[in-house]
Amino acid sequence: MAVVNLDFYSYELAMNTQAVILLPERRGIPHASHDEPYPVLYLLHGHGQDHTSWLRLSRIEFYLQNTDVIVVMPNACRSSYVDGVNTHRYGSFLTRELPRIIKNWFNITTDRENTFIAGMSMGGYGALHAALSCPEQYGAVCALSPGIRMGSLDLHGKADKGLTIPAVPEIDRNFRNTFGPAENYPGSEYDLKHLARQLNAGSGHKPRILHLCGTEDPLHADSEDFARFMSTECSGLDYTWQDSPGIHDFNYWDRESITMLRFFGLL
Amino acid sequence: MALVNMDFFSYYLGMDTPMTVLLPERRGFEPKPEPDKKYPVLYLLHGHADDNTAWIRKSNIEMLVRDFGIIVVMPTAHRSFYTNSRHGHAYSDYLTKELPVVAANLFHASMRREDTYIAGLSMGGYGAIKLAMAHPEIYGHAASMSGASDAYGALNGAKGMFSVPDFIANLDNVFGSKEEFYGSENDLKYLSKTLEARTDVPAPQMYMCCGTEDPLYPVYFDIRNYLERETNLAVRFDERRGSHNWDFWNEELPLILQYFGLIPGQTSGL
Repeated sequence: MAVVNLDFYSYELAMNTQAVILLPERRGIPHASHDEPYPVLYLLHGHGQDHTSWLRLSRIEFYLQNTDVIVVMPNACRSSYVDGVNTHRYGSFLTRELPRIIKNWFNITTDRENTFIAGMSMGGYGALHAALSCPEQYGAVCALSPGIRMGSLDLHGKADKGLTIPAVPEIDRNFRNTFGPAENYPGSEYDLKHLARQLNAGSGHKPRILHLCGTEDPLHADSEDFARFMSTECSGLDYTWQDSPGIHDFNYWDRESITMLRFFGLL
Repeated sequence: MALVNMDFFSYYLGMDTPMTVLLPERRGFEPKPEPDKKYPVLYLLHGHADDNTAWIRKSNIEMLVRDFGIIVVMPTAHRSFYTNSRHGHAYSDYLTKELPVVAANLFHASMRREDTYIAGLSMGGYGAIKLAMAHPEIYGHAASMSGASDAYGALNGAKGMFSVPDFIANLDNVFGSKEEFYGSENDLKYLSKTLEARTDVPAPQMYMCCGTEDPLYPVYFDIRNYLERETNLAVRFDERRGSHNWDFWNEELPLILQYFGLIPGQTSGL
């Protein structure tokens, strides 16, 4: 694929920011005029990573080399892809501004059925949060090893089990800046269960959801709990849960990105 | 503007190639949906021994065009003189057959000749005028700054410029030989005559400039004389004090963009 390193100004973030974008190409075949808009996959990185991580640590470009799709990998720093209590407006950036900007510059579809969002870890949370809160925009979402209870996530002592979040001294403070006090989290606009319940009760568009996690992942218990919740309380949603051997690392995400791309119908 | 540094596969070059692109944006304004808008495109060509990053690093191109809704495409052509080389890659095909389609497919670039601008410096100045003379159906506007319009002729007065181990060997790999170059489709004098003879499409708007201290001034002066005396092509010429360097090119760049009408400003005084 063609790989684009993009530096641009975000109105919502009020600063320059970056994205890596993969564009479809067919090696060995001349470029022909192409007017048909391409499906788009927003692919989100994890905490402590950036817009280059998927390209560097997975083989996503290789898997999609002959697929007509545009992959957009934005940088969200440590924001969890939400408009945080005391942080920049990464949620508005991701769901409101980025699709508009990308459509203005590149040939992506605006058809929700062909608009996908996915991510790993913090990006898995971000993808679920975006799809559950803006279901009219996304046809399907895939969360890989997501942080489910971001507002009350306890990561201490888990780095040695393969968690790709290195020990960060002020990680709790960062999550508080983003989500506010832990006690405010349940039922808030950040709470995935709350958002899922709302979506389940509504009559609008409902994105298909795929939830994946490694069985050795320190976040597996939270994922399992969320899966139980979804099957018992949100049976109106098209939700699939799959766990398989793996830890919280790109060996697992690279392998499961095939599962993800098949789920989106891109492979 | 938004800055794109990309790598993509070129069919005509047969390999991955890097490219730098500036995309229109307006800082401080909420982006409006304009999915169907097509923008004019300016192809900016680098000089011998430079690459796709040169214009961003050494000129003020982004400052100049950032408010005016233009896509700037900066490809790399190595040392090819933007030519389908005798013993090298097909950079002319890459520029003319592929890049406009790529820019239109990947970005919101217009393919109308009226919206297509090409400019360059030194080797890129030669390339810009050459490609526009050969393909007026693609390029409506072309500018050459300190153009290496006759690379062999330039050697007479400008030997010191080319402190590379194989300058002439490279020229021969690109053009065949000095004898083959003159009168060929890579010779601007020959091309100006073919352009003049075309009735299917108007000649591009053309601008050529050179600093009077530039070692390439003699070849500039020669092509200027030829175009003025031997053809009826309308070309805007500009000569001013300056040498073969980015000071001169940064002085000329706004004048060219104004002449093209891409940015507002005075064109008098030229």
